[in-house]
Amino acid sequence: MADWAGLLAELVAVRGAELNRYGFLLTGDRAEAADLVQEALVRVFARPHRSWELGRLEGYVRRTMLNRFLDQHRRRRRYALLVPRVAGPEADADHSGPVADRLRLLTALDALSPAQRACVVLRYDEDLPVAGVADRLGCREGTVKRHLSDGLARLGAALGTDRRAPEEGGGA
Amino acid sequence: MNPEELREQLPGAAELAEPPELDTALLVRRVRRGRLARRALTGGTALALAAAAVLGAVRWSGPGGGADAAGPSDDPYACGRRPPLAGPATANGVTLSVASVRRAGHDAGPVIEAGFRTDRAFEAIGSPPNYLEVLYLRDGVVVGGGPVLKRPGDRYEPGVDAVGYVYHLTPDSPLRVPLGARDGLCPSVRWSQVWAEPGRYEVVLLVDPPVELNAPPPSGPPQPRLVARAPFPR
Repeated sequence: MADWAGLLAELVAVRGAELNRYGFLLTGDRAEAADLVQEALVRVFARPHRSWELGRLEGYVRRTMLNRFLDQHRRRRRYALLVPRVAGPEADADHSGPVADRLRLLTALDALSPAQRACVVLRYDEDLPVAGVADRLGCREGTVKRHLSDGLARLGAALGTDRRAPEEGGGA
Repeated sequence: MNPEELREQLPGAAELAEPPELDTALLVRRVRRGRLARRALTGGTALALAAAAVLGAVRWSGPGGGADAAGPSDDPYACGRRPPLAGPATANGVTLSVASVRRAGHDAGPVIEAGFRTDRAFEAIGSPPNYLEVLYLRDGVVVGGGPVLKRPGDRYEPGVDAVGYVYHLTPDSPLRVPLGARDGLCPSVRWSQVWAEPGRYEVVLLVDPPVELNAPPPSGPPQPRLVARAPFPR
């Protein structure tokens, strides 16, 4: 097995669950998350790289997932009226307590624009500073702050916890 | 919603993702196919091209042969660079053009169609239309484009799908190919700026010369990419 194949197997074994989790927060859909991870892995490993260090490869994969997620939504916007939305996790059978809260949060995340959602996930799940989020998305810090502020407001409204964030979108 | 609450709740929501079912063997096979196609498309061996043709996986667009070897920061098609655009508009009997550029809105990129004119009927294989490369230039400098737009300092090598897509070319009517969304701009530019001074901007299409379906693999060095340019609509 070629070196890259060994690295691919190692990355899947060691970080596959984390990548899947990241994809799920971005998409809110298990199947889409799995697709996102697989497509990103194939793209990254099919291309030449200067460094084949595992941590760097994971960074490439995450960046590819993010780009693909945003790209898919740009295209999907045009077909939104034609393609019926597949049932999300809220269609699952009876949930209560913490699981219901999690589902509500996922549903609320669905109401965000792709850019807002990406900012929220990168900032509050990946814990990137605002500058890091801006770098990842290729936009200005001010844009990230605006997305975070708007995103938090929308989430608050959807979850019935509407109060302005003291922090956002500030600081590192 | 409070950021701290969100920080606490997001990991819980992420737990709803089931454990991934990633088939490593399948991934390895797919990567191997992609690598074969890449090698063929960057002027690699005839054997690799044949394999890619069998798989129906030949890339038509994306970085040229030299670009792969160069680091992203050396990429002449990245934001802020003045790209070389000396490539021909015609190769192998096919002429590339920007068939139309229409304004779609104040905050969005133009709607673009690529045109392919040919002197004979044949089927060409290449990347799907949404992967044909577009650049937006302001006074000759890259300020946007897509799908592969490298921003300043971007050291990431974006992937390009190596999926075969068949174009039916006939001599009687030029093929017009809608390219889909190309809204990417470099960080210093906004669409409102572009539409305020459209005369300073132009659209550039970069497409690898078409490969005829089922034809023997081309010999010799890789051909330069076809280049077509058009001004922004006013």
